[in-house]
Amino acid sequence: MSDWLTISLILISIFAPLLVFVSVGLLAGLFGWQGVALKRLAARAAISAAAIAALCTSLLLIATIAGTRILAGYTWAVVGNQTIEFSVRLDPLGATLAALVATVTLAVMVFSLGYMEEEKRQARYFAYLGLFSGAMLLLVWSGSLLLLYLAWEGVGLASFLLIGFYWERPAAGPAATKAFLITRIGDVGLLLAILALFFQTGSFDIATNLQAVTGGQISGTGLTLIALLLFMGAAGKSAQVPFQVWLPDAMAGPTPVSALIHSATMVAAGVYLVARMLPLILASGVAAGVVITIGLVSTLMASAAALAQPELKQVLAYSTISQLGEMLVGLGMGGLAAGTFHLVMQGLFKASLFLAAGVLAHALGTGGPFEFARYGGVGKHLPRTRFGFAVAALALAGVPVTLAPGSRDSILDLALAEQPLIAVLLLVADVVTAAYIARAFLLTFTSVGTRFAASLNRNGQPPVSAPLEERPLMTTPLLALVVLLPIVGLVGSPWFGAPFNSFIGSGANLPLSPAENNAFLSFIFSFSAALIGIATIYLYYTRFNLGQNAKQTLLRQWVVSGFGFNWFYNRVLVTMVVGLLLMLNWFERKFLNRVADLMVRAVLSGAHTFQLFENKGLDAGADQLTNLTLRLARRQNQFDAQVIDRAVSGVGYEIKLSSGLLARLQTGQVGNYLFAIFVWGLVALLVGLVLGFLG
Amino acid sequence: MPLISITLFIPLLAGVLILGVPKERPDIMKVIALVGSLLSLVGSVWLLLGLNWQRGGGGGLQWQEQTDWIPSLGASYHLAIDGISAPLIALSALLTVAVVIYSWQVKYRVKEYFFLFLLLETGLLGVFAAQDLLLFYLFFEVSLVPMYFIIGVWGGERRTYAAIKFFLYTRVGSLAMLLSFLALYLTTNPHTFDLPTIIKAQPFAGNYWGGTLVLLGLFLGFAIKLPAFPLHSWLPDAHVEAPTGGSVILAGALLKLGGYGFIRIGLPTIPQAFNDWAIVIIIIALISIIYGAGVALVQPDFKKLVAFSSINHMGYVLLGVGIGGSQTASAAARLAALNGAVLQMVSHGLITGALFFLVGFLYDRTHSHLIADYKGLWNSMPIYSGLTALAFFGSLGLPALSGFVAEFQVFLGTLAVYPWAAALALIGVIVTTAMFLWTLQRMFLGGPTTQVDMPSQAGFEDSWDGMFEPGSAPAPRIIPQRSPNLADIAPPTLTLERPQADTTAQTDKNSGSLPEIKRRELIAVVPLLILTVLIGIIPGALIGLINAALTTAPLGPLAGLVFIIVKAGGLH
Repeated sequence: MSDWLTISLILISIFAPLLVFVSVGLLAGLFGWQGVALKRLAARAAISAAAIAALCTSLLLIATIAGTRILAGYTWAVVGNQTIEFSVRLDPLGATLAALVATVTLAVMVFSLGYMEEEKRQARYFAYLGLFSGAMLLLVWSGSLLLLYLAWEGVGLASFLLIGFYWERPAAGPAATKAFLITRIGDVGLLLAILALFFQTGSFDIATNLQAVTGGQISGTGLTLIALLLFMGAAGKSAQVPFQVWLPDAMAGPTPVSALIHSATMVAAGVYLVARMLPLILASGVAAGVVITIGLVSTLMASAAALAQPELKQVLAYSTISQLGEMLVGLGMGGLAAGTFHLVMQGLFKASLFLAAGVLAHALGTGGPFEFARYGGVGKHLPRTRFGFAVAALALAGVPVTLAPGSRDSILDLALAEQPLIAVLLLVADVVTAAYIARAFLLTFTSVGTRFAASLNRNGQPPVSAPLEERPLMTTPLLALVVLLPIVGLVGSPWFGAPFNSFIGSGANLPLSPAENNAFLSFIFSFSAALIGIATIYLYYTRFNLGQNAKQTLLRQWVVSGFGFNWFYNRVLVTMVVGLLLMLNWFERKFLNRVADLMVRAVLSGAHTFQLFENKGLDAGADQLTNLTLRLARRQNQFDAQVIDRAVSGVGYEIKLSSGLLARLQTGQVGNYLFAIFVWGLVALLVGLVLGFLG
Repeated sequence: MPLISITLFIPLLAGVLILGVPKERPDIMKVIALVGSLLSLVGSVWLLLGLNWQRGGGGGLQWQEQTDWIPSLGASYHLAIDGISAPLIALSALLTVAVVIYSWQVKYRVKEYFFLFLLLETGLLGVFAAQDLLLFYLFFEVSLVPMYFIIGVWGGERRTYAAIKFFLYTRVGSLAMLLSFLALYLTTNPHTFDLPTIIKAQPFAGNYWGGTLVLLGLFLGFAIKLPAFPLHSWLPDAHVEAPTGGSVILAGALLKLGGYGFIRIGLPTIPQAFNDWAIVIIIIALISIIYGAGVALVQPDFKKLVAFSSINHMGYVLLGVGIGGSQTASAAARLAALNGAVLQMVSHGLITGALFFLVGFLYDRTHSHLIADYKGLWNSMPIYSGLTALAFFGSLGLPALSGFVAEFQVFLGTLAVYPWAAALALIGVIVTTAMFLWTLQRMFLGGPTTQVDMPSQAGFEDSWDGMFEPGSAPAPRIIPQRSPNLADIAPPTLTLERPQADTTAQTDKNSGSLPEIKRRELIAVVPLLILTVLIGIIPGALIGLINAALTTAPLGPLAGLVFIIVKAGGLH
């Protein structure tokens, strides 16, 4: 493919969605378009743009497989002699992610056409989706760290807007604020890292910086610090401990948006950044260790929390945190292909799971919470959704849905080779993962759920029994994503030589992942873990009937709440910070302002002393002069009588000194006095200017 | 053709013409004001475009005009502009046009109102164009006086107090500045007020205490104007009490006099003193950044919040100046910081100017600045809310908007010298983010505004813990009421009596919804936001222009900045 064609395809895939956002915004905001016309236009334009982007990225992916690589940029600004370039690059990692982003976005957009049909703010919704996908595509294509940061914040902005989309609902505003604010705390770290890299190498170019790292130009503590700061940004975006709290709340947005956020657009950015900058992370043993540790902690905690959630979407949310943690573990151990492959697969099956949840929400009415108790086995009404959910759930659980083993196996494989303890912890997480997703499936779609719901609803509303509708407009995108699962899975399958690994590795600036010779062993381990998890849950809810008697113990509440992070942040951190700020404000008001007031009063009292002198001594002459000047001014300029009068009264008929100083300040006669000074000052300055010229 | 003078004095001419218009014809006054300010805008854009935009080309003083003025004093009428002053001139002219358009509704003392704003414009443009210290001082004072009147006559309840405070603070500052000017004048041989000559002479080279004293005077003058902690306390009062147009010009243009003075006069005349005291300046800047953002976060008053956020933003300017003056830094780092400082002034003028307009639009509808009086504005005023959100995100430094481009350059320069300072400055970014998002959440998100009869009791203290938790947010109130417990330490007020409302309140209190932004309001605010976006996406040309000015005489050589053109390599 010729260069210009490649570059234009990249740019089209970025700007087509962004253009939708801008034009819909302009039409609605400045030209007052609204109503059905705009709704239709926005939806059509957004879906066309998504389709174009999907087409472009697919072509580009093919071109990349065929060996095309490109790096093209322009000079954004020159600061001193430092040239800041914005560039896009085509390489395996970017092309893979871009294809994922565009595909999932297209599916979600088509799905939204059905899901958001009744929504009166549909135009706004599709415009935001355009911004979201355009910014994410810019992020993955970016060859410059600064441009990446720009897109990174754009993704954050779009997710803020989409999470807060139902702004009239009480949960939406706080959730949106939380998502943006917490990710932005991480972003500060990322920005510092980027600036520090620029400081070291004089360039924002990703490849240049990575070369500087591998070439030893950056090393030691500085390198570790940069790597950690960079990871701080990634952890914020990918909702890893301790930044994970925003993701479960992000459910406040429309469900298709969750499908996007949790799969390809928002949280994927963090893992992508780590993958993109992997040589930098790996160059510092400390940083790699931190990445692995944070990933493991997030995985374990989030999977445990997922197991305890009473709502389907919350299970899926914690599941995302957990899966992203596993990717980071893989990347931290040097498994670029392993981590990236799981990122892609997770994107596909998590989007499917959320779209299935969206079908449910739409069928059951979007108003209420997604509690399992309300579903009571809706599976038989929604067979296609059940099928889609089941396949995606199996993929998540690590059961080979076709000839491909679970997408986490390569990560486990690495861990087995590197550090058995990590492998053991990962296997624990795998068991829990299989358990929670099996639980979610059983309670939502099967007769187990019916009984569970009946037992919980003794005093509540009856479980849903009315016939439910599945609309093809919504199930088709879901099933399309599900069909992709085994196909993509095969590409990464070690049983077929893992073509994905060599593809990703070919573009990477680092040694290939450690040899994966335990593929079969890791498959056995993970498959067993999945089966154990599923079997345990099945027995738990069917044979032992324990599910019906689950008590709200303190421990359970603690786990459900995601281990109390929210409580800590809200009650301790925010309280402390706001308390500090209130103290600052008190200082401002009671101290600084008071000192300022004292100074103002001191100056004014000085002015009064002068005035006393003037009134007694210079009174007559000054009065004459003032009146004369002002009369002149009045005649010539028809200066407003009242202003002049006030000035005259200020100088001429000033204060009776019987009242105290403060009283005078209050009555404002000092103001009048100053008024006169200013008029005088102004006149004097202008006269000075003129006289200067004349003389 | 003396285009600078023409641009400069057109507003004054229009103002004088307005004074001659009969009182009963306010419409003619408005048209004159609009034409005058528009002509001045055209002139300033012409000036800007007439500069040398060639990358790497000369950036020194252009459009020179020099005539004898007071030869006995060595003061000449010397006007010239470069890549630093021209954008600020254009900004001031643009803001004045926007204010004139917005002020079409003003009914109280229309003649004086427009006269003062036009006079103010002349003063501002004069300061940015003056190359003679006495002339600079003269225009500096000329810009001060109209603002005093604008606050004192058309302001809010405590306008007299605010106006006096504003006047005294800036007056003290300008007198201190004048003393420094005199010191520069007296130590230059032969005595002259001509700025390029003084810079060339470097009267305080090698004179530590002399330079320090001059720095002190200049610092007082410019840091009060900026304003920097702890000299800022005039600003919140002035902003809150000033009428909308006054706030826009005050924040958008008047504060820039401080930063501009530092870069135009301070750094090149006494570079050594700035180097000696760099760390102090940087620390003051950091305090301003964090303190301004922190105090802004807890303000219950929308306008005050924006005012305090100005302290935060102008703190970045001061940080850029501090780094720019520190000769321990590499030339490239200092240049980046100074570039950022200049761009931050332009960007802050656009964004905060727009924000004060937006605050004013809301005030026109409800006569309340209290954040707690609003809820769910996005339902009734979607376009207004969208524009405000854009300005908010610009202000919190979202990339692709102008604020980020400026701030990141300042950070870039800072990081190269004092990494810890960059890290601290970024805390300000987080606090600013929290502040704007939380405001957005409280005022714009949430259900449709409903009228609830509830006395306005909620100060900040009992409402903050709704920050992250749905449901516990304070109850919506749409009836604007001054809550008694919010009156600061207000020295009592009310002197210059005036009709109760200078603008018509348009709140439809029964429907509980506010009317959407009007066309006139859109015309005033949208150009500012469009420029914010444009500068954010394609800043290259503007940065190049500023860069050229910073690296060419008279600014460049003495600050040691010219070396970077020949010296290649990274920032170290």
